[in-house]
Amino acid sequence: MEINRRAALAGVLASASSLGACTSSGNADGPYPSRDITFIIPVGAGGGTDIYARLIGEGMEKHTPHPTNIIPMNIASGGGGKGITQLFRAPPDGYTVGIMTIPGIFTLQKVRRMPYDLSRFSWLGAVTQGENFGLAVGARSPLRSIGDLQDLARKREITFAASGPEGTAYSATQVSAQMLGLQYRMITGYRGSNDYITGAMRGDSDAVIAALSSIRRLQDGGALRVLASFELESTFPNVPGARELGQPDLAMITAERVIAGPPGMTDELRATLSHAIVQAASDPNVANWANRIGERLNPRDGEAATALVEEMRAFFDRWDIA
Amino acid sequence: MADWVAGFQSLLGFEEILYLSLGIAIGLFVGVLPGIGGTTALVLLTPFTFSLEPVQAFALAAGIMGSTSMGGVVTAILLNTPGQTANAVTCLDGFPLAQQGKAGYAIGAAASSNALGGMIGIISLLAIMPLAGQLVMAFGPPEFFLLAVLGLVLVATTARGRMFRALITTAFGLALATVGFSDVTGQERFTFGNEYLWDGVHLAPALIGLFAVAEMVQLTVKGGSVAKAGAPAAITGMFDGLMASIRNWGTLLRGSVIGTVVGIIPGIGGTVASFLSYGITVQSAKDPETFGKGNIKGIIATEAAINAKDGSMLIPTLAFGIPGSAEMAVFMTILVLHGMQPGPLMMMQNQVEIYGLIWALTAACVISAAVGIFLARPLAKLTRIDVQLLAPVIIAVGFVGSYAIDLSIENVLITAIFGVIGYVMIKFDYPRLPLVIAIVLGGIAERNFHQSMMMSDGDLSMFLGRAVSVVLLVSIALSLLAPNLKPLRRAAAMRRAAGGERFKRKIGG
Amino acid sequence: MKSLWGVPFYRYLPAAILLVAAIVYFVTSLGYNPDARLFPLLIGATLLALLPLDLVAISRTSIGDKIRVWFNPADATPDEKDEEEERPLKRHVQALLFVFLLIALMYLCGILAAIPIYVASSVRFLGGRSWPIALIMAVSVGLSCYVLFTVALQTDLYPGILFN
Repeated sequence: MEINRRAALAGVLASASSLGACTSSGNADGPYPSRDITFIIPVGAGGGTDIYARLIGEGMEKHTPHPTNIIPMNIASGGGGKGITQLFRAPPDGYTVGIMTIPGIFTLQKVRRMPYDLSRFSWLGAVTQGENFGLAVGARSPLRSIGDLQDLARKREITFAASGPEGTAYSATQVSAQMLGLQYRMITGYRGSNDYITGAMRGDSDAVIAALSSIRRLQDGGALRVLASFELESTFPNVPGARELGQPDLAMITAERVIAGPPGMTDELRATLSHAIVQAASDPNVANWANRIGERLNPRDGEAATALVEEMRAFFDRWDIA
Repeated sequence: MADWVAGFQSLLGFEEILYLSLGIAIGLFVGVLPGIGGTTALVLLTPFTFSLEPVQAFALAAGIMGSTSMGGVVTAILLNTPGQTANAVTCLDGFPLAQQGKAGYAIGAAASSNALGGMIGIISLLAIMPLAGQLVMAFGPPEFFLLAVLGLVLVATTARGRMFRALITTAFGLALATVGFSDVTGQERFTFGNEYLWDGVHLAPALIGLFAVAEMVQLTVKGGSVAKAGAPAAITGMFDGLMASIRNWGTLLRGSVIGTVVGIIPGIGGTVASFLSYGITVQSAKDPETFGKGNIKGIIATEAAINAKDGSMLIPTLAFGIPGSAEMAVFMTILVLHGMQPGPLMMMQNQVEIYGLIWALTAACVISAAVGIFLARPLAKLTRIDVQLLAPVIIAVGFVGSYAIDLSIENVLITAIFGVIGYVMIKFDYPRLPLVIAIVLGGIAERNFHQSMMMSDGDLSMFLGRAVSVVLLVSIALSLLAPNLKPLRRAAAMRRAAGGERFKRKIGG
Repeated sequence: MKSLWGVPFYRYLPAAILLVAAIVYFVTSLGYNPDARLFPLLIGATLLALLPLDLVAISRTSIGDKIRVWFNPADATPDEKDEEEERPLKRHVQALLFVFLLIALMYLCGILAAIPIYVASSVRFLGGRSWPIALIMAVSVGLSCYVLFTVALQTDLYPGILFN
């Protein structure tokens, strides 16, 4: 994806001309949106979720009733807890939204006892289809198949490298290991997916459970060997999928990125932002990027997003995630 | 070979050179300002890079990354105020030289070490690249832990004559590093309910307080100007300074190699490279007690390491997508925004861009060093300015910078508190550098220790089973013993000499 | 000036305060779960061991001298400190208070307003220079910050509670 200069310039001009149409600062009495919208990103600059959020934000700018600026704000403190808390406490006037990764925030709340209540956020929409996960080992590992791993697990605990509780890998690893009936032990505290996957490559842990796009990229590069895909039907040759493994629910383990607003937003505001999000999916930059990275677009509005969050929460609640 | 050349050629366009120069100017400026570093500059400019072609974006980023160090060196030497965290080590010998009126000499040496260290770093980088994969794979959590311990030991033992106080400050820094959410256990520690402290004591605001503010308060109280009365008035010796790096080529080379190696290992960072180099230089010197008082080798070792690591830090970032520092993390964003995903594939597919980036970095390094030399004379006049005018400006800018890092007003309070702490530390003779280093290393040490224990299921002997760990353990042991050996040898020598005297007197009747 | 073991009382303060903090730190760590408290306990224990020794080392007693020498192997004689005239305590406190003045102003009036006020006051009252100079400096620093941050970098500087 290349954001070419003409598009950016056009964007700048459009925003500038919108200044004439609506006042862009401080006039709270004007029609919505009459000033910049803050987009809280609870991860550090750089990395998948950050870029995702920035692109969606840009896409949304063009589909609000009045053109406005969406200002991304990285608040990564406390594993993202601070940003999410800030979103939770913001006034529900439509000028603050944020992006969250499910199931990361469920675990974060449980393990770190955060002061927000996930059931009360105003879920506004999602753009991409959540990715499936898979299980892989480093290329130097002696394990050649999922059967080998299961044999090993009968003799001793398997170690998995994963992020801290705020990352999806943390819960994904525990749930899938339990589903596969493996004796396991976590090696946590890695900072980000690149870090823990490298840990597995290096041999810090026996295996790793990560998003399939990362696994695919590294297998192509010769660094990893995938042993199992959690897709219903595996798209990797000679590698079993969830159904074949006898655990179709593995396909429910996905990292979903959902956009939300503070509790208490009016239906009207939610509908407006929902619309902007869904329309953002048709932005060429977003489509380009999704193509490059291997993400599938599946725009969902506020209602669908709320249902999704509920479904995922019910699923993850069934498992023992320490 | 073609890619190497193509990379260079990609930089020869007018716009590319323009962005490179812009980056260098920004980098120098930002490097001088205490607290605002390359990272902040890159973050603020990321949106701007959206609209640029990849090569141009790289030229801009490389310009910034390669020149912040030179900016930071100047304030470190002239005002004992590091512009960047890594330059805190440069202050140790740089500032005493400025006080002795030898600021020009110091800046000259810093500039040439900057340029030469950077170039040696790039060359080593190109040489090591094939091995880089194995090097990254050889360093896991146990090695990171031991490396952090080695760093802490070096810091404590190189505070000449104040090792005891350095130990205390180090422990204090380690304690500060434990504030916040534990990476590994998720436990909230020592925050006493304060959300701002969730990530612990923010390092950059604390650094600004400890060094910039504390130094300026010290100057205000003392009065006069930075350069002591009686120090020579003209800025001379810059040429000597330039030549000093070449004359001390051993130190330069060693510093560059250390910087290169440390840079390749992700997660360690520039500050560690700078004082590992300094510490090792001091320990292997024949006259260690001259360090900290204006030994030019101190500057050469530090600056060579800082600049060498700039190039090698690209390796883990590009090859594995593991940024070795915050600056690299932001740089990675810029990469991905331009459609390049770091990883083994990128190393194979985007060779031209990568070489272009490396060339841009080299150019930035050398050009900023040259500009630094030009600016040295006017900037050195700062040491002559009345501190009552200079100090409020630096303090004000420091606080603004502290806020600007992440737009948190609490940073300002941290800076003020650490300003007081820093001032007390100056007055009561507690070294500040170990504090800073300990805050940086404490987190790395703890996280990697716990990860090592998770790997071995609590078995401490796991460190002995890994080759690199054993090497590090031996290094730690040597570093602990070394400072004790020299005085013992000297005492023994003195005793022998005294014994000889007595013997002579006996014979003499 | 009260003395304790041959040395003015205030010389013990930093180490003493740090010792109290270390005790609080150590006791607080005991309440955390085993993994989380391992490092804090080790660090706390180290501080609790070193700080009392430091307090003794400060004093001019024979034990104090022995500790000082033993723990600082690099040189047996302490550094020759510059013989600066000791400034009155008032001066130190004033200088530090001005820093807190600055942050108070920042919190209340915002950064852009606080800077000129602080620079002017510091140059005039702390530094004893004349009003014209103080004002020139205040304006130039304030203006530079405005141009650099608000205009060039498009970064809004904190507006302060009063004007928010």
